Amino acid sequence: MANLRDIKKRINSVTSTKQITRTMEMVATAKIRKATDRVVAATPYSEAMLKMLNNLAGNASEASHPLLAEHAEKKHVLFVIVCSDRGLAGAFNSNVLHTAEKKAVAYQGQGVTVDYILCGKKSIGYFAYRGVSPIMKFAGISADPTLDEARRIASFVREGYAAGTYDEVVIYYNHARNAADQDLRCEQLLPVDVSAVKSDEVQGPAATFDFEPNEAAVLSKLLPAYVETMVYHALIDSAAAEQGARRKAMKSATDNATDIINTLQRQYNRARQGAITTEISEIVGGAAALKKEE
Amino acid sequence: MADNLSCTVVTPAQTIYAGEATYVGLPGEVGSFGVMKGHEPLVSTLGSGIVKIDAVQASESARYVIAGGYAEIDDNAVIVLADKAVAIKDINVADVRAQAAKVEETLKGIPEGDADRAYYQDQKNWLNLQLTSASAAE
Repeated sequence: MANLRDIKKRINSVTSTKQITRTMEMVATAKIRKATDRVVAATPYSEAMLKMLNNLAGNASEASHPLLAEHAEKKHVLFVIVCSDRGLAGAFNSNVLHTAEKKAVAYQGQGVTVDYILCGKKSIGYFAYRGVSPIMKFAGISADPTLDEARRIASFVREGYAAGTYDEVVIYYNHARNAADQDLRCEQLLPVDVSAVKSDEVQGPAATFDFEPNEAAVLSKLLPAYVETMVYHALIDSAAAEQGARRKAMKSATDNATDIINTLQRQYNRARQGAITTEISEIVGGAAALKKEE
Repeated sequence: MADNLSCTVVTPAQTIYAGEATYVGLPGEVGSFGVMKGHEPLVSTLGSGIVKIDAVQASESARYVIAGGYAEIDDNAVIVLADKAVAIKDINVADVRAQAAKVEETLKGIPEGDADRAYYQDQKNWLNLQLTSASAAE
């Protein structure tokens, strides 16, 4: 049986771990609010943009803009992978990374080259270990993504796609379904999928709009901005999801620690009781032996 | 309330103005134009310039510097999607000047033809636009 002091030591160690995970849980809870507020604040813009694009999309044919045109051959694909800078968030990062890597392996099997833009230290580390060097990488922004990063990513992929360097651009990120649950999302950034833009609810008034200076000009300004919005949305959505995932992971870690402490405490009590019983029987035995001698 | 239209100014990060207005002046890419109640449904691209909002309550009237964007006018509602926007009264000239100097410095350190150059050039233009708009307002 483990001795008393060893058990006590373990109890102490688990208790301090529990304190840390509890604190992290509370910090994440506080941060969720801020992160979701940001998503909410950004929603009016993306909604208005979708509506506008929707008004245009009725008249947009594939050939009308290079960002809409699908390339005939798929030879070079770009993955934008959005992860977090810090771990301890359960399967948050590994979900994204494994899915993206699986897809990449499948692509490579078909002779398609895959390049990466990585956001978050975790993804950079993961791919560095596998000897993959990304085209662009962003570290230290996962908790506080700004529009600047989104603009840089968006302008890079736009130019790459328009120049024909890339034939498809896909973004992988975690979507914060609510404060507790995350969904892995994989969206096609380029070519812009007009059918996804055309929603059923806002159809009808398309024809009545005037366009200034003209339709093509508006479209060619709106599409790049739309890509930017998608990237920005992915970044802030992922930031909100990260906090949610961390809170969940830390909550279950705290619960586990509580269970372990209970078990250890029980062991400790049993061991102590055992020691006392042994001691008593030794004293009784010793006293009996003394009596006999008299 | 008969002659009002609702006006919203949003940037990718947040909504910066939402309210009732009697007149909205917009810096269209092909020329500035004004919008009042009963305007035709219109989608326009916007250049860099000033969005002028005459609110129903005069105290809420405001002017914003924007750098590029779009406006949608439909059913007496004006939605301005601005890439970047800041209220003129919120521009801190000294602050912006310091930032502009910093960007200028960074720009010098980047070799010609680098992809980052466009980004900093963009920053510089935006800061300069704020400066000129702020001084014009004084």
